Amino acid sequence: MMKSIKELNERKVPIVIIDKALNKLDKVVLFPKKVAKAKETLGKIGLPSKKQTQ
Amino acid sequence: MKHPKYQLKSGELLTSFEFVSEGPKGVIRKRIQFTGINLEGVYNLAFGDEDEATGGIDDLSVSNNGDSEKVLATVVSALYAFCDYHPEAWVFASGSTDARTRLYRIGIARYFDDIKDDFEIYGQVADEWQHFKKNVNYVAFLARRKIVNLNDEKH
Repeated sequence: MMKSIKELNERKVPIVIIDKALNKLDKVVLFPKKVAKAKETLGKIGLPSKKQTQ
Repeated sequence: MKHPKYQLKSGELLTSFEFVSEGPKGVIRKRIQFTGINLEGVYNLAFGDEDEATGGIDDLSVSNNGDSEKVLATVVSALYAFCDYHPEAWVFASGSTDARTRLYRIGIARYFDDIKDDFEIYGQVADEWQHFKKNVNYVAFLARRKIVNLNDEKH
């Protein structure tokens, strides 16, 4: 049975259309400055301590 | 999440997503990417507009297409999809500018009640991570899907 737009919008995990043409983007870093910043920050302060996490 | 969102398309690894924003400025193709960094299991989350002329991505653009809520809901739903496929991943996000980081903070705060049961969320203050709280200024954000122990739930 078709799901209504409302039902689809309420799903936390969305229905994603898999488009193999987008696989090529996985080989390209689209946001290099952001990735550099993430590397710099996490290289410096790391991840939350085990005490903080679950 | 009871928020309207756009239909997402993704590659098979659920790391690169695409959706189309529709509003007064027309149709704008947007991309979301989760990029692995040099720490195992850690990914950077970023999104921006595709520049139709160059095919490049502009993460500084302000598209003003009247659908920022819907765009944000779509990015949050991509986070759910990504973490469903990569359940142990840490996801890092920061804005391109201080103003953009502030918008991220406001956006996370808006969705916090919806997502706090599903994600551990941290904000960076100086050189440490703190559990995310509304109305605190952070310079970056980190999230991970909460691990549900099904054995614990039975008791």
